Amino acid sequence: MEAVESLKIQFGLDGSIWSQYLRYLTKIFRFDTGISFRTRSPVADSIVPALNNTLILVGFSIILIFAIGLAIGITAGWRRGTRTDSVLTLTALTLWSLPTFWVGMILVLVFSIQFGVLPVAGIRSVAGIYSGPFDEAADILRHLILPGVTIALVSVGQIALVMRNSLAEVMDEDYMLAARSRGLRPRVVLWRHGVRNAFLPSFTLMALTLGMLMVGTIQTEAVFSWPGLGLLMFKAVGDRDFPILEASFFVIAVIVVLGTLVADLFYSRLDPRIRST
Amino acid sequence: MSISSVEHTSGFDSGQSPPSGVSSRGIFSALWKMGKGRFGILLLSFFILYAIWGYFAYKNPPLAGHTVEDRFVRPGTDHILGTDNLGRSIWEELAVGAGISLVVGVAATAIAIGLGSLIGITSGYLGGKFDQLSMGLTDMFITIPALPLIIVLAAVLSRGLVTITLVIGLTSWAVPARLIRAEVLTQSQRSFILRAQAMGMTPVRIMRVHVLPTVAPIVLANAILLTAVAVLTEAILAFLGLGDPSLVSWGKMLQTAFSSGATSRGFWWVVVPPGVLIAMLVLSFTLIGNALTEVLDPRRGKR
Repeated sequence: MEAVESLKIQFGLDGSIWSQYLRYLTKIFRFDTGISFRTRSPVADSIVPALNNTLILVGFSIILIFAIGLAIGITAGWRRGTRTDSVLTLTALTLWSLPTFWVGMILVLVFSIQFGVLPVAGIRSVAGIYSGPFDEAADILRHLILPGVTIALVSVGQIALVMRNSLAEVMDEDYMLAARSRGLRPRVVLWRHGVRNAFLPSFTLMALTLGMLMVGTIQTEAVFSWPGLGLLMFKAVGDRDFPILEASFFVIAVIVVLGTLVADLFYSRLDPRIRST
Repeated sequence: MSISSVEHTSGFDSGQSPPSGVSSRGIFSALWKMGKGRFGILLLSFFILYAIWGYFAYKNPPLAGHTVEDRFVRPGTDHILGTDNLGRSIWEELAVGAGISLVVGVAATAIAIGLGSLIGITSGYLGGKFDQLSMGLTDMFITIPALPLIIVLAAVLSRGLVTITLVIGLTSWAVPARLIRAEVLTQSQRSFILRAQAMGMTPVRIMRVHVLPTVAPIVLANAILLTAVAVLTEAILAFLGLGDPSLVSWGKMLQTAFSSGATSRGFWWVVVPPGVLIAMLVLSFTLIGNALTEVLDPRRGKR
């Protein structure tokens, strides 16, 4: 019984639920997240390197999503009402409906097992001996492709749809007609008058999607054993390692809230019309 | 803003009498006329029938195979769609999984919409301190990423379908609540509501007779889109090992496929079908929800 009591004290599980909660609240503000049930080392020691890896993955996917999503959205919005538009819109909706983890499994099945061109899992090759930093970066990049594409494929639909809808709305504005009647080339009309005005919603969405991306990374990292926050959570679920779960959730929530804040701040900078109101 | 503070600005408001509302038959035929609406309805009807048939035709979980030779059988004459790591027929597993996805998706959405309506309507109608407080809470729930929260909650609580449904439902009420509150605020400025107030109708009755019917279509569109998300979330939770351990669902099928090494051994027949069905079910809800949004607000979408 004494052993149980001392363990309870060690992990901060002594006292009533409310006193535990109060202790949690005071500790979290000092970034003291306690110790892991499984490794018995401070939770922060697992969180920090994992967060680093997750940010690499998220950063890579954001670039992909931006490039592909905006391309689809602009094409569909420019040709709104045509066959291209409806095909692209349906594609975007379908992509959005796919379960992220399943897309990852399918990509592994095709590109790693069937064709054997890309690694199945992990962040580095097992026998990783590198001749230099570039060699190491290239190896990480090779491991990054499949998980990055997995997240991008699923998240691309939403940004494509938002871009399409806002561009389609802008297309009906009088200044677009005016620009065209002045004899400007369609390309100039599209980019200088159309996309510039329609871009804002997708930008804000991008920052807001950060939350959705973190959701995608949890599943993707579980499939690809990418050693980030998601894999940490996935393992912690199996181990019932609650301190790790709590801390990972806290970190993800902070990132998402910061992303939303940044989006709000940028929004008023990018669109002077917001500032005046 | 409380309703009593709303000024009657225009004597010639088009809404002198309560709008008859878009009839449910009208909405349905408008959906049917739209390509994606019709496709979504057909797809969803198929899944509902499929789930009912699967529920009565097979037991969940399906029987395991007897010998090692029954495991990971390729699709063929013995098993139409092959078998999984325990020798269970993929065909049967898919059929029983449909019901779980549908039931969890719809039940979780019902909880979310119920809670969202309660909070949205009361705070839109009461206004003042209560409105500020509840909307602050709502904004908090909108900002916090839902899935990580759901995972943490599901991990702490006991594993089971009820847990999953509750956790999904209780974490997704915030967006509907905001939507409904905004709609209630707009509707309460309409003159027929003011007239009803002047006639001495009780707030509860005004809500029920005048506000609820006008808000309902928007809520329905949101609910359908929410169901799509709930179905996906159920699959994700099952894949992460947070589902009901004793039942087979599509997400659970993918979890066993992953953990038993079917993916890395290239057993495509175990991996491909559940994901395709999840995606199609989610797509059917998304298509209907999108089409419905366009029907209700023709300004959006293509003109």
